[in-house]
Amino acid sequence: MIRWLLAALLAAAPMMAAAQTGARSFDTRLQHVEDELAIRRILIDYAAFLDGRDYASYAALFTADGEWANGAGSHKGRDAIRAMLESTLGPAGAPNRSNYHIISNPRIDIDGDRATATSRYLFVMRGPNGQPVPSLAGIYRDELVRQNGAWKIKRRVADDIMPTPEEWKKIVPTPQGAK
Amino acid sequence: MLPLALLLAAALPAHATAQPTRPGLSAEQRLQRVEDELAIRRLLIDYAWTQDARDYPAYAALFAKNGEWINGSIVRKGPEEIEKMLVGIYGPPPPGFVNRESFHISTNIEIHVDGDRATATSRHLLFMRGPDGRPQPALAGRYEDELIREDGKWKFLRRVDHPIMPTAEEWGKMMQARKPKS
Repeated sequence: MIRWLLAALLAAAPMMAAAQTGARSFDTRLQHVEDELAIRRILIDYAAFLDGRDYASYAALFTADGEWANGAGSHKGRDAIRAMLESTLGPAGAPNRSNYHIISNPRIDIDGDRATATSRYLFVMRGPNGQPVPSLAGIYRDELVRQNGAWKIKRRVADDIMPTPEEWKKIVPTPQGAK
Repeated sequence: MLPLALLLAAALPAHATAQPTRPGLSAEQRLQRVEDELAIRRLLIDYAWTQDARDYPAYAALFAKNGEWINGSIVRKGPEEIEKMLVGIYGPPPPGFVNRESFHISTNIEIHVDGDRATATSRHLLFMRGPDGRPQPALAGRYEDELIREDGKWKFLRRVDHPIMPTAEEWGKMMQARKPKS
């Protein structure tokens, strides 16, 4: 949390200084807009690959040493991230009509080749009569880096806001990951 | 894949360059419009985050000096008055507060920029913890905003919250039912 806060502060400081002097060039400003849109796309691609069970593309959104963490633990590196998906969600490429993620409220702060992002996720599951039921909500906190011209997730932390882990176990008794 | 793209690009040169939708604007002006739209989107999203975090000083700072907060007959003017209203309703949050009871999602954002002024409409959907801990949709509405560039930053000059469902009466009953039994 403190690390993330510091990163956010560091990201905000130079931009504020530049805005005050009005010294940013056209190219720098355009780059900033492009970066924000590219990172927005990553946040949405993440959900598309997750819900579509495209684990290779999902893992490729991370840096080689990228980390995915939540309250239950952490998975570092693309292989570990992919293994986590396979163990919780089943085989790659399987059709999925039982759940999906709505991603909203993105906040993106860019500082050169680094960025932080915060967004909300709402996990919707198939209910008893087939209707979609909002089942889990949380906040993603991301650190991103530009590598070889492409933005990648260096670290994503998923903070489940509701239900609590104990309540979740009652809702989904068998392991059936939601991230 | 790439050869196909090259082939298409060669065959359809007229389509290679998009027609500018606002031919009267310079590149600088077009970039400014895009920056403004992103900055206003951020303002609308910051509103939801600060509201959910009960960060009232940051929430109030999103309003212009004469910015108005309007919901039905309730009108508050200026950051100070808006902050005071929120602290009055919810009380100051405890240190390190993380809201695990409710949150807003903000969607369907439409923005029209006109120089240092802009208008925006968006939808909000409030989720609250349900009986089994799952998030339940609790309140849906629409925002109508007037925005102003003040000291180089976009602020709310006027935000009108139009709740759509439930009605104020239904909402009152819901909140009464959620109160812990004493």
